[in-house]
Amino acid sequence: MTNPRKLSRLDILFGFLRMLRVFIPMVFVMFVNSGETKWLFTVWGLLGTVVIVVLSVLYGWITWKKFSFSLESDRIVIMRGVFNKEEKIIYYARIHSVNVQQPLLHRVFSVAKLQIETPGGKSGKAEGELRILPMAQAIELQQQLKHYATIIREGGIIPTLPTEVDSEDISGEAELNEASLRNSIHVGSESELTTHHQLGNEIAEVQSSHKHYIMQEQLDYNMKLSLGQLFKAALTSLNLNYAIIFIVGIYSFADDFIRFVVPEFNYNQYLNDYNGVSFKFIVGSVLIVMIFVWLLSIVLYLIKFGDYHITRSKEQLSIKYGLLEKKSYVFNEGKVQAIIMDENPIRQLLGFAELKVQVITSDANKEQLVIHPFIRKKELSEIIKQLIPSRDIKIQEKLNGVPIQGMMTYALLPMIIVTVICIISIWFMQFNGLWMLLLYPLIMLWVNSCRVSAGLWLEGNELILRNRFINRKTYFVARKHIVSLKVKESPRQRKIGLHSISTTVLGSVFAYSVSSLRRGDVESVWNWYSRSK
Amino acid sequence: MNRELTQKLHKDYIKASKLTSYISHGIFILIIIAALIVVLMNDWTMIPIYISGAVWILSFVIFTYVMPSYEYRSFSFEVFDEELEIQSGIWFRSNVLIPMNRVQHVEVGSGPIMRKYKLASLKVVTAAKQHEISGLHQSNAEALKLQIGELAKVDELHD
Repeated sequence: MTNPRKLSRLDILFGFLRMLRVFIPMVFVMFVNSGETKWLFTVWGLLGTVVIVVLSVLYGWITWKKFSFSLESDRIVIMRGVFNKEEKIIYYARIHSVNVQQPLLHRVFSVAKLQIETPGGKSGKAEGELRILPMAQAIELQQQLKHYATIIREGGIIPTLPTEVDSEDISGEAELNEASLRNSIHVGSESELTTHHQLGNEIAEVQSSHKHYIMQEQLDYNMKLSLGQLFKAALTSLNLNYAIIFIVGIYSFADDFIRFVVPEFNYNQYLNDYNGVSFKFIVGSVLIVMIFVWLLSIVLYLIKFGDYHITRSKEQLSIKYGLLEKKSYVFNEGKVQAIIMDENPIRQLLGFAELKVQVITSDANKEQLVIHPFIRKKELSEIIKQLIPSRDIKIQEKLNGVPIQGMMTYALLPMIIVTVICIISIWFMQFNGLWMLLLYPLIMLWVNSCRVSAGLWLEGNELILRNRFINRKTYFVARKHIVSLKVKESPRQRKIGLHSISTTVLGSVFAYSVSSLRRGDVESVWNWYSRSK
Repeated sequence: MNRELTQKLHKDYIKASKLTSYISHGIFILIIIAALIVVLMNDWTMIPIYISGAVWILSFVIFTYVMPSYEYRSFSFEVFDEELEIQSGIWFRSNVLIPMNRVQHVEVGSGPIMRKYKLASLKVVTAAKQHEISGLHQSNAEALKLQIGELAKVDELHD
């Protein structure tokens, strides 16, 4: 270790809080069991509390003390562990992406968490994590690491660095703002692109104090999502998962809530009295709930993607977003395993889409990174040409689709489920249960739209797969990124000459797949991918 | 996907999976007998015992006398210079294509039953998934391990 560095001292506080969290269930259990808090104020109670607090502080302090990292000429070394000492070495060239995240609590103290991702990392846990760094330092380190990766790739040598970085005298937020301000100055007024795709050609100097890493970077692409765009994106976001959570929440809490407000409320009595709750009332309340959910999803969307900013310099893409919880990702263009165009029904109608890339991240529920929340489909290939020039992407509406005989594969399972639902509801509700039969045409329509959307086509070195669950998703995968290709057929499919195809790429748990395609189309993909002719 | 794949599992794979099935079904029948004793002692209803007994007989016949030979027949693979193709599946037949330069490493392992018949399983690990060829003769598995290991040794820079 040539120049070991430490985390911010605030790590002690965070370690302390982490440790305290462990004790919360214990205290809770004791409280529930004894039903009173008097014991807390006895000598033993106080002593126990003091011991727990002291131990927690000690734990925080030791983990901070034993944690250090250092940037070597070709790798970053992280030393950690109190009893089991652990030395982690990550070579710059192996780094897939570097993420800086700032959850709410971190935000209060203007510190951030830096995660270094490599292909070897387990899912759900980053290979290297620097828990607490001052925000400015985290951003600086992120830039530094991305810069090193580029230098190494070009066969250069990393300059030796000044050692001490005094974290105390950096006022995090101010510097970050300053840095991003400088980044976003744009001179490229002659660019013929639309206003929100500003092409910055200036040199951004992130930090120039003698203590810090000096870096000059040329921004090839600089895009800030304008407020109008963001708002349009939010309006069309259709966040169904929030809606479902909300409705399930209301449904499961309604009972308790009513009991809480009117303790002597008798549900059965109510049902008897108001047996004929008017149809208008039901429709009206459903509508109100729907509108509320929609507004809620807009607000949540604005908070999540507010202040969206993407830049590209020297093959490195960096993304920043989030109003409350700030997130920032930096990754190399070459590490993008797949480009995914995600269109929900409304956006598809309007000709817009969300653009994502598949990169390796440890964020469990975010294995696909949004690189553009709201893109006009016509501009897609233009934007990709600037963001990821090594990929040549064109959208084609005409694809090798699923023939009508393939309907069976799509319809079988939903139809079984609907039939079961119908049988159950008719069994229990007799005549009224017949309403459930309306599900058949509805589900049939949905299944058919899934079938019509699905398909694939080949274009040069790219395989493009498209499928739909609710959103239509188009996956652009380069041949070199496909880890394995699988073709599957059931006896029935074999008889009518249909195949299902799926590919796996790095970083994705799920394979990208399309069911029931014509044999010839699948064969051409197989031959395109196969190396032994 | 259209070409004939020449390499098969070892014949003894059928015997080994039969033995595995005997053992696991033996354990299950013991559990069912234990449950039967408890039921008889307490005079409970016999219906769960009948059901589990029927399921046991069905699963015993299928997994001991039907599946192993079908599995053996439907499984084939072939190692080409630049890729590995595996065909498998009794009902749903699938073909998988794994390029050699995507292979990270190869593992050979075998459990006690497989060792009895001198069998082993070969795991081909890629960055995204593992593909297992279970039921090769030990010597064959070793040879394949070396062969695939050698073929997978392509320089990293060209991906």
